[in-house]
Amino acid sequence: MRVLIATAQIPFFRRHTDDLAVDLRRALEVAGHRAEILRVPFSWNAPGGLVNQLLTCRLIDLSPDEHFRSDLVIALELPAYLIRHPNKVLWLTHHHWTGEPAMARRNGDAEQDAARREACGAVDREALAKARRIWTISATASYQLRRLCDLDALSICPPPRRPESYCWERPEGYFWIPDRLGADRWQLLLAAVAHCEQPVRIRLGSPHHEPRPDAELWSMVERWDLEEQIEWVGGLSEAQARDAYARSLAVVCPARDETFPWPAFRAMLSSKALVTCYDSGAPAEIVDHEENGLLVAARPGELAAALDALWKHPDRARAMGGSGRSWIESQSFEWPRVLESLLS
Amino acid sequence: MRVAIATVQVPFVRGGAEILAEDLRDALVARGHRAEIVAVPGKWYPLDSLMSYVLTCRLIDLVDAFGGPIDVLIGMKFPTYMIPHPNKVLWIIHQYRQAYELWNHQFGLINAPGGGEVRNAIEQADRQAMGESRKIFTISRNVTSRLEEYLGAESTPLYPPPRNAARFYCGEPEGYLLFPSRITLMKRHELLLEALAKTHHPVRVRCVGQGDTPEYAEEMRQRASELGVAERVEWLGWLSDSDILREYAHTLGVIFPPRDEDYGYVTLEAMLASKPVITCSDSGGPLEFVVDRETGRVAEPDADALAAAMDELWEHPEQARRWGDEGRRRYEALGIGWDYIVDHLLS
Repeated sequence: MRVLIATAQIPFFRRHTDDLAVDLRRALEVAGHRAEILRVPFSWNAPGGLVNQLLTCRLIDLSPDEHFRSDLVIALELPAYLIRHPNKVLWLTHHHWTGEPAMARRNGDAEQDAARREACGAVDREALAKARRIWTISATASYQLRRLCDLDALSICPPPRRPESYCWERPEGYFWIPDRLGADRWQLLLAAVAHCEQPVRIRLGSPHHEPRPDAELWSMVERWDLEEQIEWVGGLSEAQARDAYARSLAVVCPARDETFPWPAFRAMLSSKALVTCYDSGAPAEIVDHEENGLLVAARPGELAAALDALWKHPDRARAMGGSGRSWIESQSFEWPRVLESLLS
Repeated sequence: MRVAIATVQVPFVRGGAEILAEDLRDALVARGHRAEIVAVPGKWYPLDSLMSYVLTCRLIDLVDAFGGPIDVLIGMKFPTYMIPHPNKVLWIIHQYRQAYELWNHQFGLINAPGGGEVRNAIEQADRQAMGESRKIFTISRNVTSRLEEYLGAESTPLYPPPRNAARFYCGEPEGYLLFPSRITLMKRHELLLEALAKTHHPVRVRCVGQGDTPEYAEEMRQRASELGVAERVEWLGWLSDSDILREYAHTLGVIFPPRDEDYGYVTLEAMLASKPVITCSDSGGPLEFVVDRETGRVAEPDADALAAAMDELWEHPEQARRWGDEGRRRYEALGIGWDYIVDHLLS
C-alpha cells in the first residue's frame, strides 16, 4: 500500500508526534508498504487565526486518481487530518487545539473567540466524521477527544523507541524532567523546589529542548534564587537523553495533560521511580502510587513532599524503579500489532 | 537567522529539487543558522487540484514559528514560492513550465480543458510572487532568461554545486561514454541511440539512471535493438554514490543531450571529474558551462552531428583529456560553492 502519514509542522519545534511519524513510516516500510510523511505548516500566532489555517488545510487534496496513487492517509493530529482523501484513519496524538482556552485569549475579543471556536469546532467535526476510523495514542488523548468533540475512540499505544537501549545506572543526585513545561508548571516546579527541605537538584532537558531556556521562564529561577538547584540541559542527542534517565534518582513528569506515554515508559525502562501529578495525563495512567512512583496533586507542598521523600530515601526510589521496570517488561509493544489495527 | 525553505512535495516522487533543498538546509545549518524545509504537499493533476494547491500556498502563514519569527523565507519552486512573507527571497529551480515554454508542447496546458484560464491564473500568481520578493535568484541563466521573457522579471543565476562535489575524481578512461540521467522523453535517449547507430567508430555508451516509468525505459531498450546498437549500450539503472563516482572517473567523456534542461548537474559533475562533455545546441543549462572545443563539444541536435562529436572524442582521447582538464579549471574559476550561495541568499 502507499500510505501518507499526515502531521502538522511547527517550524523549529520538534515534538513527540514528529518522532512518532518517523517510527510509523519505518514500521510501514518494514511491513512492505511505501510510506511518506506529510507535514502541514501550522502557526500558533497566525494573524488569520486558527479557523483560516483549518480551512487552508482542507484545500489540500491528495485523493488518488489516474496520475497519483495513494491508498491510505494516517493522520496524527489537527490540522493534518483535514487533508482531503477518501480513505483516512486517525491515530490522534492529542486533541486540544480547537478547544484550548489559551487559543481564545490569544485572539482577544471574547465574543469573537466564541464564534471562532464554534467555527473551528464545526470544521473539526466535519473532518472527524469523514474519517474511516479514529484511534488515539492513550486514554488521556481519548479523554480530550471526548471532552471536546463528544466522540469515543479506543487507544493504541505507540511502541517506545529503542526500548532495549534504556538501562539503570547509579544515581548521580538529580531528578530528571524530560517534559517541556508551560509557565504554570514551571512555577509549580520552582515553588516546590523552594519548599523542599532536602537540597534537591533538578535537571530538565530532552532532544526537543532548546539549547537555552526561555528568558522569561529562567528569570523566575533567578528571582527565586534557585540557580544552584535547577539545571537546563537542552538540545541533547537521544543517547545523552537516555543517559540522563539512567543516572537520575527518579523521573518527574509534572506537565499537565500529557498525551504521550513515552517519557513515562522511558523512566520505567530505566528502572526509575516516576513522580507525576493527578492531572498529568499519560504518566498518571501508569503510576501505581507508592508502588512504582508517586502520584501527587499539582500543589507545591505535595510535590515538594514527594521530592523530599525520594531524596531522603533513595533505596525507596530504587525499589519503586524496579517495580516500574517489571511492569513495563510485562507489557508488549509491537509495531506489527499496531499496524494490524491501523490498517484493518 | 531562522530560515524556512519552501519547496514542493509530490508524494512518492523524489528528485533533484528535493535534494537541492536538503543541501541548502545543510549549508545554512553549517553556517550556524537554523533552517527548516517546509514542503507543502499537493497534486499537479487534475488542474483543479493544481489551483487548490496554488491557493493553499497563498493562505499559508509562515511569518511566525514557535519561539520567534521566521526571518527569511527562501522559495524554490512553484507554487510554494507563493507563500507570503515580508522577507522572501526566491531561488527558483523552475516555474510551472507547462504554462510557459512548454505551453505548446505535448504536455502543455494548451491541451487541457480550461488550460488557457489556468495559464493566466498561474502567470498572475507568478507575477505577484515575483513582485513581493525582496530578491530573485535562479539556478541557471536558462531559468533567468525564461523569467525575463515571460514575466519581465529580473533575476540572477546562483549555481548550486552538485552533491558530493568534493568526491569526484579523475581516472583512466576505460572505453565508454557516460550518459547519467533519468530516462525520460526530455533527456533524449532516443536521439543518442540514433546517433550511436551512425558513428564510424564502435563507440560504447553506459547509461546510468532509472526510467520515470518502467515502460519508457523498456521502450528505449527496444529502440536500441531496432537500431542495431543494443550491444554497444549498457543500462546500469540506479547506482550508489560511490559507483556513480567511479563511472565518471573512468569515462572517456560525458554525453548529455537533453532538450532545454533547466540546469544539469551532470555537466558540473563531469567538470569536477575532469571529463569533457558532449551536449547539444538546444540543451539549455549545460550550455552555460560547456565551451565548444575547449571543454567538450556542442553539436546540433540531430543524429549525424551528435555521431560526429562522439566519433571525435573516441578518435582523439588526448584531446578529450585536455578538454576535460580545461573543464575542471573552468569549474574552479566559477567559484561555485555553498558559502557564496548562502551569502547571497541572506544578504
